[in-house]
Amino acid sequence: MRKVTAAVLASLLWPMSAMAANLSLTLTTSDSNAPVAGAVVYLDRVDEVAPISAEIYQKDREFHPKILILPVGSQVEFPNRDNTQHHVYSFSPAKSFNIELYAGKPPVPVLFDQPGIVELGCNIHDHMQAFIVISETTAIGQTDVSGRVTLPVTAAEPVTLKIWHPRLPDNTRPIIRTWDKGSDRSLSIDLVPEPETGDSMNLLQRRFQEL
Amino acid sequence: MRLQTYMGFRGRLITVMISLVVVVSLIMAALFMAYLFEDEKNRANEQLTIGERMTRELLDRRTDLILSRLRVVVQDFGFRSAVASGDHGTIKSALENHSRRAQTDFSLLIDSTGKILASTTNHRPLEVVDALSNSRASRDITQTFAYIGGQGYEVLQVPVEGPGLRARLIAGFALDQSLARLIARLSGTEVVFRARSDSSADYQIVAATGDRDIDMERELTQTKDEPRMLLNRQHYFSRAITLDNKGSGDIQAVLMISRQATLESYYTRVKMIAILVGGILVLAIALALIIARTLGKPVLQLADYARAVGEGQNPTPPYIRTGGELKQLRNALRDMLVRLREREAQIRYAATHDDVTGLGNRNALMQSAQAMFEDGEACTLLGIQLNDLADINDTLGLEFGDAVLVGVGQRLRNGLPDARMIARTGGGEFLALVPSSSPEQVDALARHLLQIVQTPQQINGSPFSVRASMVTMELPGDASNTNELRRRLNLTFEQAEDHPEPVTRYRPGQDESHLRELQLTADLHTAIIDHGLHMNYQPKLNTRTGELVQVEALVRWIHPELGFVSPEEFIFLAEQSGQIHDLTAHILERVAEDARAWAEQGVNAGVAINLSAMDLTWPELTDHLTRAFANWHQGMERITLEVTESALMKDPEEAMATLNRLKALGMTLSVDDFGTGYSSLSQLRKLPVQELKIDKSFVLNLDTEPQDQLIVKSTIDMAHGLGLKVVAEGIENLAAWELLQQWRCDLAQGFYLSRPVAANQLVETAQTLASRRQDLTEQLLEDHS
Repeated sequence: MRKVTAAVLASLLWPMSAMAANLSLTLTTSDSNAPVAGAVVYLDRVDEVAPISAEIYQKDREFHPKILILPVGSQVEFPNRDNTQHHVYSFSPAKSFNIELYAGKPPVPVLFDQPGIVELGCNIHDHMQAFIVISETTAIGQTDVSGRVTLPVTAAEPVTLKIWHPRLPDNTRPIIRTWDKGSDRSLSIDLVPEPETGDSMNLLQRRFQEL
Repeated sequence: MRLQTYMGFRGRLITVMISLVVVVSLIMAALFMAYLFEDEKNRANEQLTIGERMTRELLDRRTDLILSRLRVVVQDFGFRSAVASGDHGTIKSALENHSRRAQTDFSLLIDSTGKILASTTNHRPLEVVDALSNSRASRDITQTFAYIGGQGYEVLQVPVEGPGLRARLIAGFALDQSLARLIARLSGTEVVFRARSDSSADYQIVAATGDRDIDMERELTQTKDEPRMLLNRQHYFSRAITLDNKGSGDIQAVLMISRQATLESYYTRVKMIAILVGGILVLAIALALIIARTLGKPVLQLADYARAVGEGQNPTPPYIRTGGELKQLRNALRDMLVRLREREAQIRYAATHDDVTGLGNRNALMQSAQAMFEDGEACTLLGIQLNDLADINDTLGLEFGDAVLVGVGQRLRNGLPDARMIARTGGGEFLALVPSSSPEQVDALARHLLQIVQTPQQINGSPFSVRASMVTMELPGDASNTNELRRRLNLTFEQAEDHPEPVTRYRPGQDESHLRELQLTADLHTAIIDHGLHMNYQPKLNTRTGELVQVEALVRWIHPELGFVSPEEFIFLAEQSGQIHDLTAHILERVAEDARAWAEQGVNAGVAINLSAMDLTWPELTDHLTRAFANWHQGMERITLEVTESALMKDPEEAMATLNRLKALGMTLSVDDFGTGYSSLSQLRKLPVQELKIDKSFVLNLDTEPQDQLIVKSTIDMAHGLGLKVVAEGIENLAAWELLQQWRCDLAQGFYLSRPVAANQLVETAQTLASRRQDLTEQLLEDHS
């Protein structure tokens, strides 16, 4: 977690000669204008990026973190900190991999060398889910609770933005928006509603855990 | 109305009862049937509703089952790996393998952009995708029913989602025979799955249970706007259940309940009802017949009874078992009969009895006589006529008269103990029928009876006697039937009035002459009108010159049946029947006509006409004379009217007045039949007559009877002394003629001179007489010479 934060900070404090201004915008849902938190917003451009190493561990049958932003070429460890084994895999075109049931830490980290969205799952815990956003740009950020995000942009206008959120109708790829400064500094996107938590499956699991 | 009279009570009763039974039965049967139908329909509907719920539930369950299978398939790691591998061959084989696991009938794999990754079917995928077009998001599980490639399917779409895997599995499960059978088994209906490609196309049957005929196939495959009830309802109750979620009805499950069994049971019930109704009908007819018999028989008996009463028999009232109205009717009829008899007896008594004396009346006597005639018995009829009953009634009052009648009746009863019948047949006329006996005994009985009747009787305390005349007739000798009896009895009573004897016996033959008189009286009228009478004329000669001076008109009647009828007879009858004036008027006209005819032929004779006594009291006589002889060609004195002496003496004053009127007309008046009447010479002196006609009884034997000669001679002398001319009639020979010439009789008439001749022979007769003048006047010439 700390590493990730560090990586994000590093990426944000990336020295950029061409940066002339910061782009700041607010994301809302198109149906209720509620601020969208946790959306990943980045520019559609290719920068020089420095790969990093990160990890997504499994604890309490969940992936941590749920969303991981990576520069292209980064490597990710998937340590298992649960008392059950996990079978982590992805079928995403950006990176398709498969780590058969294991406990502890897999011997080899997974290399993400293609930009795109990679969705992670566990073959024996269907509800476990995590996303890795692999980008080629340094201008990337996540909206805060008020849906706001600030990105460094060059003077060239208009800019093309890529926006991704787990609850996009098609969350296998970001949506693309063009945006110029003159317009209102807010964007609205379509999101599917939050899946209901506490379904029967979860109840059953909780009961299992309580045993 | 006619029908009613035609059918009679029994028929109507049966008709009414049968109609009642039929109507009630039909209504009940109809209600029952309607109820059965309704009930059947309701039950079928209920069953269909249950079937519908069952079908839906079953399909839902099946869907859940299929879905759970599919979920397992799409979450299978191997399958997902295969899909994610992107290798077409791998994907296809995995799809086929896992489809088999899930027992789909076909399946498709579509990626997130809608591109088909693999398919196990030849169906155009678009069709399938179209069927799912209403699925909102690719990540939802959607389910629909679709008609694809001639087959009905339940189509499910399940997302295939792994980390980074976005695809859809579309799987189809056929609506097949086994499913239909399952539904059919559970719902107890027959099941047909049918589908169509769009709402304008016909349905196709995709699966079905049970047998179907061609009609049903057609019915099932036609597009109908009736979504729930279909098919010919005579055979099936049905319900169509739309399966696809669009509700277009493109794919349906049709539940059908055959009515075969229901109808069979229904027909069985109909048969039972029919048998029941038939039985009731037979029963009703039997009942109606029994009632009609028990009710009709007494009615008919009563009708016969009433008819017998009407015919005047005395039937015993019929025995009637049932009480109530019929008995009352019987009693009423019986009482009616009793009263009828009483009244009839009263009427018969009144009809056959005289209410004053209590004796029988004319009817009763005639019936009694009729009965006697029919039985061929003989008996004697005694008749009594009280001579002065009218006077008694007028002077002493009707009550007194009645008392006399009662008294006489009582005496007759006492006097004729063995009479068959005693009756009062008219005012003062009593008749009795007594057993016949010898004429002497009858006479004695009659005299005795008359004496009894005429014996003074005490009336109101004073003695009073009546005078009566008796008649007797012997039956059947004197009359053989009631008509004759009545006629001859009247005749005899009439004769009794002029009969000196107290008892008058009917004389046979009287009635025949009476009948002849009746006939002549009737026919005389016709004869007068139709010129059935004809005239004869007898010349009268001047005794001195022998020339024809006058003819006497004599009427003659040859009756077509009875032959010659003497003038005395029919003139008497004409006087009796009041036709004498018509006859006289007729004769006057005839004579005037004939005289004109002779005058034209050169015979110049006067006429003499006889007048009846009644003509003298006839006011119109002079008018008729004047009218008849209006064109008379000679002096009025040449018309002589002859009136008999007796006629003049009947009513001398009236006769005198008439004669004076006739004399005023200038006619000659003559006294006919002089010497036979009882005319007093003093009256003769007063009469305005110019001529006497000596009766022929004095002239017929004049040549041999010295007495007659004396009478004739002195009569001529007396008449001449009174200034009257004399006519003698009945001259039969020359001697008489010569004597009359000698005695200076003025005119002579007789067979010696000429018989009466018809009008057309008179001229000839006149010539003959003219040729005889020489002979007839010889003696005078000799005297003078």
